[in-house]
Amino acid sequence: MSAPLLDVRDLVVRHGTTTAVDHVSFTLEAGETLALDGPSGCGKSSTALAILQLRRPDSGEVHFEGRELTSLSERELRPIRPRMQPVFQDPYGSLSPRHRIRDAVAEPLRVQGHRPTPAQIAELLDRVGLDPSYGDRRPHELSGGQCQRVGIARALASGPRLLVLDEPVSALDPSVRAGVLNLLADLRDELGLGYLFICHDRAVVRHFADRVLEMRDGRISSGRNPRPRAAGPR
Amino acid sequence: MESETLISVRDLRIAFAGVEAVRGVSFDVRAREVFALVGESGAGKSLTARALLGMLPREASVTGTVHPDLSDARGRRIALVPQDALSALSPVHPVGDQLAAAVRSVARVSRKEARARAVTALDRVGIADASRRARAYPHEYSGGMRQRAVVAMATINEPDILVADEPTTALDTDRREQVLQLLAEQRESHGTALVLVTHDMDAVRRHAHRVLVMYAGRAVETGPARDVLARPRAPYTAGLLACLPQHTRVRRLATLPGAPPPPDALPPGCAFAPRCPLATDVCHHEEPQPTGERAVACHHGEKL
Repeated sequence: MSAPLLDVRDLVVRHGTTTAVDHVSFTLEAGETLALDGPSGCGKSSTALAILQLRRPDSGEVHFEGRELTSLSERELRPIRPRMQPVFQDPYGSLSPRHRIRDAVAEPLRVQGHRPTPAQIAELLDRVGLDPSYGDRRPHELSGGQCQRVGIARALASGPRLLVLDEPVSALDPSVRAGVLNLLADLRDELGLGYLFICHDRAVVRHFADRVLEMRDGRISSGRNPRPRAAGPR
Repeated sequence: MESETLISVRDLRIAFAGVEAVRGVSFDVRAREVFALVGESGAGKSLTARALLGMLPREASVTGTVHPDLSDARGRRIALVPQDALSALSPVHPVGDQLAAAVRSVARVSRKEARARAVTALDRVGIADASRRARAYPHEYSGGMRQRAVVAMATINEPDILVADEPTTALDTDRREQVLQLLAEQRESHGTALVLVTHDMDAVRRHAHRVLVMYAGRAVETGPARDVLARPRAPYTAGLLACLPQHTRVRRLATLPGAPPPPDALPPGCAFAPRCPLATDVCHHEEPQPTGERAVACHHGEKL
C-alpha cells in the first residue's frame, strides 16, 4: 500500500504555556475528506496551520506525499506549498484591498510563473459561483460571502493535492454553500484531492465528510463515521 | 400572534451613488416576536436592519418611511447585537464599566447604580461570578462569554426591539444555539421583539415567528416562519431551502444556478428570473408585485 497523502504523527503546538495541539496523529488518503470537529479553541485551526507549516509545530512529524515537512527549510517548502493550499474562514484578511479580484485569483498562478488568461480567471470565478464581472471589482465591493468564494478560487488555482479547509463554508450563503460543497466534492472525486475539513456545522460535516475526528482541549477525543456512505460512484 | 406593531417600514429604498441596494421593502415588527430577515449576501437584509436603527452610512440615500424613527433612542428603545463580539467591546475598559457607561448614556443614575445594573445584566446572561467578572477586560473573557457580554450590553436598557445581525455566524453549533436561546430568554422576560438577520435557515426554523425573504434588494415572500419553510411560495425561497444539507446523505446538494446579480446590473423584470426554473417570458419583462397574504413577489407563485 502506498503512503497516505497526509500522515500526521504526534503533532504538538504550544502557545506560550498552553498546549493547543497535544500529540495529535492521523492519516488522510487522497480522495478522502476528513473532518475536524470540536468547540472553538479546541486546537482545530492550530492543527491546520501546523500541517501547512505556516506555524511550525513544536514537535511531531507531518508527512505529505511521502515527504516529511517539519524538517524542511522555507526554500525547500516552496515547491510543495502550491500542492497544499489553505482556505481560511476570513478571506478579507487574505485579499489585498488594492488588488482587483481577478488579480487576487491569478496571483497563485503568477507566483508559479504562469500567465492565466482572462477566460481562465472567469472560469475560476464561475466555478465558485461568482459572476465573471466581479473580476473587475475590489474586495471592499464584495460581501463576506463573495470574498470567501474568491478565497476558494485562489486555492484551487495552483492545482493542489491537499486542501486544508478551515471553516470554508461557515460564512457562505446556503445556495452558494451547496454549490461550493458540490464543487469541492466533484474536485475531490475527479482529481483525487484530499481534504482536511475543519467545520463546526454538524449538518455540513454529516453531508460532506468521510470520517470525523472530534477534538477537545487539543486532543483527538474520538473518531466516528458521520454516517454510512450511500452507494454511489467513488 | 397578533400584537402591537413596534416599528413599521414602508417602501424602504436605500441607494448608494444612484444604485439601489434595497428596492422598496415594507414590513412591520410586532411586540414579542422573532422576525427573521433572511437572504443571501448582498440581498439588502443588513442594510434594511440598519435602517431600523438609523445606522446607515452617511452616503446612503434613503426614501420611504421607518416609523417611528428610533435613531435617537438607540441603546434605549432599540439596540443592536453585533456580529463580532470582540470588536464590539473596547479592549481597554473593564466589561462592567462598558455596560455601566451604556446605562448612564440613557439614564440619569448614579455610578453605583449603573455598576449594579451592569453586574445584574452579566448575571442574567449566565456569566458566573458576575461581580468579579465585571472588573475583567474583554481579553480575559472566553469567546462565548464575550458574546454573552455583548448580549448583556444590548439588553441592559431593556429595549423594545433588539436587532441581531448575523449574531451566530462565527460560532460553533452549540454556542450558536446558546446565543439564540439567550436572545429568546430576553424576549420572553422583557417582551422584546427580536429582528434576526441571518442566512441560517435552521435558526429561522427553530426561533423565528415570522420571516421576510429578501432577494436582490426586494422582499420576495413574507409570512409565518413555519408556513414559509414548509410551503414556500416564491421559487427563490424554495430553491434556498432545497440547498440545505439534509440529515440523510445525498450525493449532491441542490443548488441555484448562477449567482445573485450585482445591484448595478439587475436584469429586467424579476431579478431572480435568470436563475428561476419557473421563469417565463413575462418574468423577464415585468417585475412582479407582492400579492396575497404572503406578499409573494412572483408571477408564478401559485404554482408552488
